[in-house]
Amino acid sequence: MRPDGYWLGLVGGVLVLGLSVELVRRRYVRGRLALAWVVLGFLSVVFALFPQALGWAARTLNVQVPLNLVLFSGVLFLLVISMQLANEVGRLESRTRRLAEEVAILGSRLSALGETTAAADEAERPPSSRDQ
Amino acid sequence: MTDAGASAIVVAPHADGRRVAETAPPRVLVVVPALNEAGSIAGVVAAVLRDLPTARVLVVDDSSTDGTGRRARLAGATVARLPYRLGVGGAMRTGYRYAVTHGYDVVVQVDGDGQHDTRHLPELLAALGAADLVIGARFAGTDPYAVGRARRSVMRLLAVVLSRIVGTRLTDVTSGYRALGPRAVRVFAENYPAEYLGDTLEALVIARRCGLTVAQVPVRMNAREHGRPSQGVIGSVLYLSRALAAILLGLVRRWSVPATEEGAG
Repeated sequence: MRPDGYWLGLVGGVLVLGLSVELVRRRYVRGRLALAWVVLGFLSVVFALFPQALGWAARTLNVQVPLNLVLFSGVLFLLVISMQLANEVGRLESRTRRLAEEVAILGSRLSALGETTAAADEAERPPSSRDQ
Repeated sequence: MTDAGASAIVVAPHADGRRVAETAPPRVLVVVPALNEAGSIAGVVAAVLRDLPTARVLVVDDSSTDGTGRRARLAGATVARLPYRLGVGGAMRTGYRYAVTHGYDVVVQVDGDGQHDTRHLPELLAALGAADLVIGARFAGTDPYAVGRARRSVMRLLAVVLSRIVGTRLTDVTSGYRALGPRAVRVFAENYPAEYLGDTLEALVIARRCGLTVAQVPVRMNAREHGRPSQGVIGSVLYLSRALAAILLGLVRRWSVPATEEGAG
């Protein structure tokens, strides 16, 4: 005797778990974030299999409506993930910026070298197409 | 040295004086951040070399699409081209890093649009004796530079706020006409924000927090055709909030003082 929503919840839980594991396996998420995703997938399957566990968890945490616990923890999870992503984007941005600056400096050094060799070769052969 | 032999790679071309000058580079680097300034860049480079013959000019080409870099090179500047657009802040930090890696002590920033009168360059350099960062300020003396009234009062307000923070009376804090001594160059080679207004306002806060001293020198500025964007009241309010955000960021962020200096964190 299972309520109708049971199978839907189970399919959803397995889907989340599968996706999380796949994300980790393909190395789209790494480090602590990978662990968070796997735990999320695992929890969703557990709560889908044993809906009474949700009621128990809600009672122990003094949450009146069990569903609110799901919503609250879901929002919290998303918030943490997005903060983590913002942090990561900022770090990547500063790294690419540094790389771009380094590329510009190296480029200027390269073209200075090119000019030196071009000047030295001038007597022997016409300058090759040095422009980009 | 007299006979290069049959070597494929020419290490040292025949001594003609110029090579000697390059191996012992002048210690002043003039950095010109430029984005699509093909019309004015050659004139700016020539003017700098005329007024400061011992200096080297580095034009940081912020991914221009109009051949700014080529014109700058033809005018006698060294050109560093950024692979994509970073803004004035990114261009300037490239300049500071270039200065540090190539052994320049002093960096002067001059805009590529020709609004900075290069005849003031010696005065800026002279003032570096007493300060780490010298601003060429346009409201300090009389000059024909015209801005809207709302914009002007915003700039006054910012000047008052930053004077308080920096501890010196400043009148033109958004001026990009600046000279930096060795200590300042080392600080800014590491810490220089790429955001809008970060290169002017936030940089001053960074200077203060890293223990640098700031001074200003009155300069005249040439009028520029493509003026500042927003001059109306709403534009000025927006500008003010962005400026205050930049100052707050400067106050809140952590900056690293180069290890060789003591500085006040």
